[in-house]
Amino acid sequence: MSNGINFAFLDEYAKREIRRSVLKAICIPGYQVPYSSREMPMGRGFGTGGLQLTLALIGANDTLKVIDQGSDDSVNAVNLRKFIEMTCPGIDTTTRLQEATLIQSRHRIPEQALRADQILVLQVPYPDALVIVEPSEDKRKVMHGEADYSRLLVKLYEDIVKFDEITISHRYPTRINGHYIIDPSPIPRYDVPKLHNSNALILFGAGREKKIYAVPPHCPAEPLAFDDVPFRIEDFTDNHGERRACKLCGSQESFLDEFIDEQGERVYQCSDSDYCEQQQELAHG
Amino acid sequence: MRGYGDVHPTVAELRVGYLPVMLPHPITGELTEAGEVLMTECEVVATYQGDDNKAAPTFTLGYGACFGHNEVKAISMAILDRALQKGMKDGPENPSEDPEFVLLHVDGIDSMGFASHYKMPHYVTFQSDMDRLRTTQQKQEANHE
Repeated sequence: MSNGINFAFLDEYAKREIRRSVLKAICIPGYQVPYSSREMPMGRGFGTGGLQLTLALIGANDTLKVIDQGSDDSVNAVNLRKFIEMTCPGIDTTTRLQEATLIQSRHRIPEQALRADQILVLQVPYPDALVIVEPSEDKRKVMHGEADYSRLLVKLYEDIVKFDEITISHRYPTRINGHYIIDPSPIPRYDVPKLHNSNALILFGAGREKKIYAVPPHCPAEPLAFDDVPFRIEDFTDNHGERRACKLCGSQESFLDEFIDEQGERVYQCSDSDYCEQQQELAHG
Repeated sequence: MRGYGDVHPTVAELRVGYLPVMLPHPITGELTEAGEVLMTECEVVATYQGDDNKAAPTFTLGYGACFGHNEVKAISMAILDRALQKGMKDGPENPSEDPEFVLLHVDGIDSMGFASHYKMPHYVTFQSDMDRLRTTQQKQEANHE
């Protein structure tokens, strides 16, 4: 490039290392591959892990979608998209899921099913599901190797004894391909079933913690639960037992954001703004 | 200090001075002085350590070095170095002897990175938290009735 910055900002050695880590992550589903996370021109904790994956994978023919909290207009999504556009001349960006080949997201998996020719990159703050029961990474690595997740199960059991419910709201521990348990990033429980037998490759990047892991396409992903206490997603039924609907598009099938509007009324709205717009377009013909 | 890795080290060496910066010569490959840099270095001696295997007790050492004129930083590094070495030898008895804890939390970039992350929006995870809070509250109320 004429301004002296390499395509996609990272140097080719950095990209190569990330791609090799990605290949390893795909070969060992759910295993956290350590990599030498580069310093990016933005703070750790702002999606640097996801960004490095995107930059290592993107080519001039790609169409990129970046979302945060389900929205293309959220500040983190806008900043990341601008940075990638600036450093990757020739790429296209979109807000429509169907047009995207590469999707970087924070906290959500899009409502509509992904295709086999798409890759989803998730930004990860805490890569290790065991961190809630074991602070030492040294010991966690051994526990993962031995598939020793008894302490996680005890944590779930203690929740049930104390609260009659599993209290983990998001970052729900999920077993990949029958062995490794991952932290699926802070997606709501509502999104966890979408990891199971996904058509698309799903990649996880934790920049601050220097880890990459993957849920390959058509790979089993089971949220941790007990035979008699099944895994449950967020409940959006109202007091009359009706599923709440989005205020804008009327969908009764999407993950909803709840807020108080200017009149002081409690309202619900799709968190996935692209899905919501497409539903509205369908309704208006 | 204060019960978390109790030592009052004796400063054995504390020096500030210029050190030569040696680089391989681009043609001959021979180390050549390219300039000098201000450094502070410190070595501390701390209370002796016994050994379960009845070996003779010894003093322990710690070393720290940093750029610029910064004596407190060099002393602190030396104390932490001594604590980490003890932790590596006998297993960490407290956070200052645990390399994972010390090295990952004293690094400026790593220690700041996550605090600034909290400025970002968290609607989705908060919605999910609300779901768990309401459900457990309802269950508790139902149990009390």
